[in-house]
Amino acid sequence: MDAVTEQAVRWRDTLRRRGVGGGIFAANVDPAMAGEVHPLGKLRDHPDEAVVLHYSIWSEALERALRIPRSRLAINYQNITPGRLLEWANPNVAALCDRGRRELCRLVGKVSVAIAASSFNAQELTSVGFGDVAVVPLILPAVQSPSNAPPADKPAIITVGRVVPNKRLEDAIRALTVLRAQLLPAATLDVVGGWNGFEPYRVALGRFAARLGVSDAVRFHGMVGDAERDRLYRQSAAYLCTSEHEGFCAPLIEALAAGLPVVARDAGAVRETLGGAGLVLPVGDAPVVAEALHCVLMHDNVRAALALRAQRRLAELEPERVESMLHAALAPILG
Amino acid sequence: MSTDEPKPALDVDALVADLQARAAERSASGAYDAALGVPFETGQSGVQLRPWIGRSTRPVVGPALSFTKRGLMRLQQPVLIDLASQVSSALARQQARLDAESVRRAELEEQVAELTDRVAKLEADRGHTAD
Repeated sequence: MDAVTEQAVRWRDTLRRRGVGGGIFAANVDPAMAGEVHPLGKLRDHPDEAVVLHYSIWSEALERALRIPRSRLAINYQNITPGRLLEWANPNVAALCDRGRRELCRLVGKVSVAIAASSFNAQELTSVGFGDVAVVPLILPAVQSPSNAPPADKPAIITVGRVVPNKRLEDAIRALTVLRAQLLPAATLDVVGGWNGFEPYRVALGRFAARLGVSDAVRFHGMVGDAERDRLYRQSAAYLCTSEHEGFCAPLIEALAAGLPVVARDAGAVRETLGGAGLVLPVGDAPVVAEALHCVLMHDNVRAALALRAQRRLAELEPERVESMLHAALAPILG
Repeated sequence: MSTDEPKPALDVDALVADLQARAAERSASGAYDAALGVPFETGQSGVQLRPWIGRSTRPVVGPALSFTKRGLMRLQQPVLIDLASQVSSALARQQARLDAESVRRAELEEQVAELTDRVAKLEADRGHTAD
């Protein structure tokens, strides 16, 4: 399940728990989600019902939403990856992203409620003309048993998310190469996430790792289920995010919950999402990333300080708390 | 969590500045030249629309022809863009397959080289034993 659908499901579930029924409709339904998500054509407008448009790319859903009266329409802006970052690997998706950004302004004045997962996203909405925007972070599962185990002899660094060019995984592979060259020769990198539609990028990354001589140290797991993803988090010693565009980045919080120290590039909403609980680097320069990884892996005091901040950040993002924020934000259309 | 617990102090900005200085020092020594010298190659390919091909340079009637051609192209643009992106995607998929094959072939060649070495060593050992 992609991150946008995942949030739509969590919103639906939390609303149901509070007595608000409803369903999820999409222009393109993944066959694996056929039971959870209904085709957009089946959405019937009813005067007693409200609609939330989860907006992350252009689709027919925008046209459908524009036919809903303002008093019953909300937008949840999930941010849109700039097309230029994706174009070489998938021009079709890039074109839809750019169209999504271009046509976002059509919703100005057409919604009663505007919600964004971060101030970064909210800023983008206000810059195109939206008025009040409520910031409601992503609803993420409660932390079960976070661990803060010291790194093993062969530290595994993990990065989670779609294998798409804006994630700049080439920077992660280069940083791993630098780390292994001088600082931690046994370090490895686990890349967890699917590359459907972005096969050229996956191939280019494999070739790049081979040219750098780290093919054996970089493992591409593809898309995995939650249980396998959590197992990989538990086996890891640090989390790395080299992405150059993020509207929130849920894996950062998952990593904090798993007790991992986080090293991330300062891009989009990353700094805001971490809330001081990770090492945020101004650039994705490989030697600096490698030094930062070495630092969090080898220095207990740094890990301990980051872990303490992580607990504070996780408390701020407790699902019950976020759910209350969501209900307050949606109140104008829920009646 | 107890509020009496001592909190380790961490000045992240100072730490990051320190890491940057250390990285710069090591980079300057040439320690990372091998890792930093390899470019990330995307192998871009694709079909693009080139609207300037509709321009006519004929004297007198050129501007009128250019105007007409551009108008016709504009009318067909959505269809042409769609076709171009379909062709680009197909090319990208083929390129991805070719690249994957290349990677696989390189891996197999490495394995063959490794096995050849092992065979050579085994034969050498056998030769010594026979002596």
